[in-house]
Amino acid sequence: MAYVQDSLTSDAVLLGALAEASRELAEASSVEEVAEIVGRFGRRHFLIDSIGLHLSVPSCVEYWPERRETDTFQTSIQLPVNDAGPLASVSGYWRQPRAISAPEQAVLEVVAQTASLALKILLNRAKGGPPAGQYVARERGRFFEFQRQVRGLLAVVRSIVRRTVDVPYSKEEYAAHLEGRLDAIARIQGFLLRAPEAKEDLEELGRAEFLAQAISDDRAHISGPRILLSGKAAETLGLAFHELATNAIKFGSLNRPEGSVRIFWDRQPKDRTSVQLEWREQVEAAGLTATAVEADAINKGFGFELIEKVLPYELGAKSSLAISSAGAHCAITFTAGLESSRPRGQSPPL
Amino acid sequence: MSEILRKTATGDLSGFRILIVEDDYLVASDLSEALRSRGATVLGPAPDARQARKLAEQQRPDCALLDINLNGDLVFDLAEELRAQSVRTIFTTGYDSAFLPPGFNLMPCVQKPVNFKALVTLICGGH
Repeated sequence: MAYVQDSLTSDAVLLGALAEASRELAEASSVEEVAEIVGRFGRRHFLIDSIGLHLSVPSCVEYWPERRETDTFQTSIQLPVNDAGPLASVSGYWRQPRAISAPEQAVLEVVAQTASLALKILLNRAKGGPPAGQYVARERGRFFEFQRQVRGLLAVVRSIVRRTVDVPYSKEEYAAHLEGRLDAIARIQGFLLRAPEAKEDLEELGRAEFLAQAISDDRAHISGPRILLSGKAAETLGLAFHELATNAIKFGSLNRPEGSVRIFWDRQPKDRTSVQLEWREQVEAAGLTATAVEADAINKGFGFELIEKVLPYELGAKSSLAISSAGAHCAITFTAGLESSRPRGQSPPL
Repeated sequence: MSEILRKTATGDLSGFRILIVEDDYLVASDLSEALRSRGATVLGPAPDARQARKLAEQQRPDCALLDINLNGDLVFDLAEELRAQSVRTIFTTGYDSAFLPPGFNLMPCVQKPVNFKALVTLICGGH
């Protein structure tokens, strides 16, 4: 087989041409333009006599240096333009027998892959998606945000594990506390992962905690206008509800058959973005014993930290937690957006 | 052994003033406690750039640990200001280092959850 010398002076020239073709492909505005760029590249730099962009054929990497089918079909290289399934292929044909070098093969593969990406973007845009640059940037941005959320969550989990260890529980108690906290985090993340930029309904947050702790509706009362929480507010308030509920069951009002809990909130009349929330435990006449009050206060370590430190730091909230013979009383004032004017049942903006 | 080498080897951070900018309280407080236990003086923690600027104006830090996404706001303006004041700046973030824009991509970046030993080495190495 004769080796036909082509016009290439060096691999460097070829790489320069590849960079140029890649740039053109990234800016291509139609399927025809993609085919034209690939064809021009093949004819100019590989002396390809005929080059085709075939849609709807299985993806493939095939190269026949000595395949002969007709008089004019001496050598063919066929490359995939889609790695995920049937879409298209790029094929080049030479009338004269021709061998291509490994760098040339690599360059053709890159051109084919770039053409594949350009086609995917164009097809996506045809379905109403954004332009190529935005599409790539958005996918990249989503991935970065996803990484950040997962790593951030792991950092928080590590901090919570550390705080759980700090208290002298038995191994079983330790496991139960940690499980409870992780369940609460998982529940809240579950709400927030429903959609990008999802908001969480304050009432839903409270009800989910009571449900998880098997506290019946007649012992737990929740009332207030619709408030949608940002991710951060939902995480912190959700964890605070969890600690309060756990302690109410163990030492507080929910430890008594007749005891109950109320969570209620309202927007402040003067500043509608400001929400005042209270957690109030109630027991009938007898009340809690001094020992129970003490134990409650000690065991509210993480709850105290969440309410008196985390909420002010992260949400700029004003908050306090006090333990008395009636159980715990917690008051939190925080800022929330004004979505509450929306009628119930209508979905929040995403 | 030189003072710097000794400090690096033992992870001793006494004499370092370290500004912590982190919007998550639990993470910020653990980091503060760990740095203080090594002898460092902690400025902050600050949950946002505004409060961090205030702290840095009162007392110039030797080193600043910056979370990149502070409740939705990116920290790069603050990083630029601190760099202009020659404050050693280390990103502590959930973002991948590939997220860093040109101009910041050579600055040290530690991924969360932060490996404390690696962080201490970075702090000492830059002193």
